[in-house]
Amino acid sequence: MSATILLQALLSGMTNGAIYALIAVGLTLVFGVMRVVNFAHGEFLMLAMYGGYLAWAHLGLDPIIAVVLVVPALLALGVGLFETLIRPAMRVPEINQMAVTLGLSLLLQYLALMVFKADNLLIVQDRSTASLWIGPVLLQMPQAIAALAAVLLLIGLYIVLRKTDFGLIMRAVSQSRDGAALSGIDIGRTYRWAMGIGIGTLGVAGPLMASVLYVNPHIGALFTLKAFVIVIVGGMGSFGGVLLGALLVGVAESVAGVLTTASVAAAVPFALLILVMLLRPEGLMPVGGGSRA
Amino acid sequence: MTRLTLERVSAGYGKADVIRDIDLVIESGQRVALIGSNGAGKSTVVKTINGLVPTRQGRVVWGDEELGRMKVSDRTRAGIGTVPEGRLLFPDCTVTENLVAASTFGAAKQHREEGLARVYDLFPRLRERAGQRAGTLSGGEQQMVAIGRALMTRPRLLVLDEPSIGLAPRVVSEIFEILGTLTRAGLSLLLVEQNVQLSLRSVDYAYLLQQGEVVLQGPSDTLLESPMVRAAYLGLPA
Ligand SMILES: Nc1ncnc2c1ncn2[C@@H]1O[C@H](COP(=O)(O)OP(=O)(O)OP(=O)(O)O)[C@@H](O)[C@H]1O
Ligand SMILES: [Mg+2]
Repeated sequence: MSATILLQALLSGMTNGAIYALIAVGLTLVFGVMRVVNFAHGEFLMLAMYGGYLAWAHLGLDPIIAVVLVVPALLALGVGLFETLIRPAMRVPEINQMAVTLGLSLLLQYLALMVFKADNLLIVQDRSTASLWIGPVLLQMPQAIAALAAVLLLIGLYIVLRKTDFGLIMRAVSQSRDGAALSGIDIGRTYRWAMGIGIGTLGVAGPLMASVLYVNPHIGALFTLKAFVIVIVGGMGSFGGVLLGALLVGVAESVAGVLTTASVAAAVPFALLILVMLLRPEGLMPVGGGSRA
Repeated sequence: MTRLTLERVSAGYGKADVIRDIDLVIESGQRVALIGSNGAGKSTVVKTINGLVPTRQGRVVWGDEELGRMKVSDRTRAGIGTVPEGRLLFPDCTVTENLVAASTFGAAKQHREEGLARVYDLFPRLRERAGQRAGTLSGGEQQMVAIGRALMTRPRLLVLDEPSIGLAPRVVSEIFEILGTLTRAGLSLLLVEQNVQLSLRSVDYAYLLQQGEVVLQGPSDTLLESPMVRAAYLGLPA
């Protein structure tokens, strides 16, 4: 096997990793701030992908433009989800919460099946077949665009979390809910925004991914699973952990893809998960070294 | 001027009430202590005041407002600052971030810079550690951050739940000196302590809590003389 092939695998692994990070960061934000495990996270990605597809198929909108419409829609869905299902579910034991989001995941899949049928849909444009040479290796244009958007959004999110009052409020609530409430921070309002943004970020990923991957009603489940692997590998609730976990998963998958068969490569993220759980159960970059007040 | 009143307040966690029929008043600018041994229910009283535990019976009145089911954050915004048991800092945030996080609303936000300068003047040691993560500070420094954070909310009443716990005597006297400075400037104080001697010397009036009920109250010098307090809490002959 040549160095070029390996380099190619690395690059596409990192590209996928960036996109995975964009998907997983919302999951980790919701978990970090609210301690809610949202099994329906991937279904919102699925909806965002359909959003992008429909905007292209019916309105002729470029997916990059569609992002501008899909983000507010997903943000509203996130806020709506919090107000209708999650807020009441936060008063019940965690196992019941999980049942709620798991149930929602299935419900959304079957609703999508009713509305969109089981067809595989893809946005196809002139640039779909274009590619970018980076040195000796090649990157598909739609993938490059999605990865670039992911990187920009992650940088933006990082700056917001680090440099603004809004971000400080999110971090404070995630580190001590009662301490934050005693500091005058409205917990319910913080939760609402965490869920809105956690799901809103999928509004960036969805339309751009709809020109990379076929959309179908079950596509979300795959990404929920991967996002969980990433979040657990990285350390639940940590931003840096998500980046690291996503890059690891993306690169491991694609390098395994050139070294072995596709079916083995598909199992690699889960092997990685088991390995990390055995060696470092708190994840690679846990929040606060694993402790929480 | 704002007075805090608890009228026949009962509260608890499981089926049983942990505190029963608590009557307690803190006049504006007054320094009050709540003393009692482990498990007497002191922290539960604190939590009925700041809203972390709902009252089951009775009323908590702040100024002319009954707090009822008012949210924790709104009570803080209304001027009741708490330094909670266990401090509840944001351990991954820096000292400055911990302080800033308590000034994201109304007047506290408007006067943030002023507030920070004031806290750092009160606790020069914290200024040196402004950029350090709170979780890596010593116990005394963490307690100072907890007090500083409560001050950032611009409270009129400061409720402190065992500020001296686990701290070296020198740090404790440093902290109590600062509390003295604050109350001389007009802040009302509710001091919860197991350290009875120290707290009675720092306040005007005190309540003694036993098994969830107020069994004794009075001006602090009277309580210091009380045979019950002397025998049970100060280890002195009655
Ligand atoms: N979250 C809780 N759930 C159930 N029971 C609790 C809870 N918090 C306190 N209790 C119980 O309520 C009683 C009073 O507790 P509280 O913390 O108010 O006492 P305290 O006077 O503050 O004690 P300490 O001096 O040890 O802090 C104790 O018996 C305690 O076990
Ligand atoms: Mg206590």
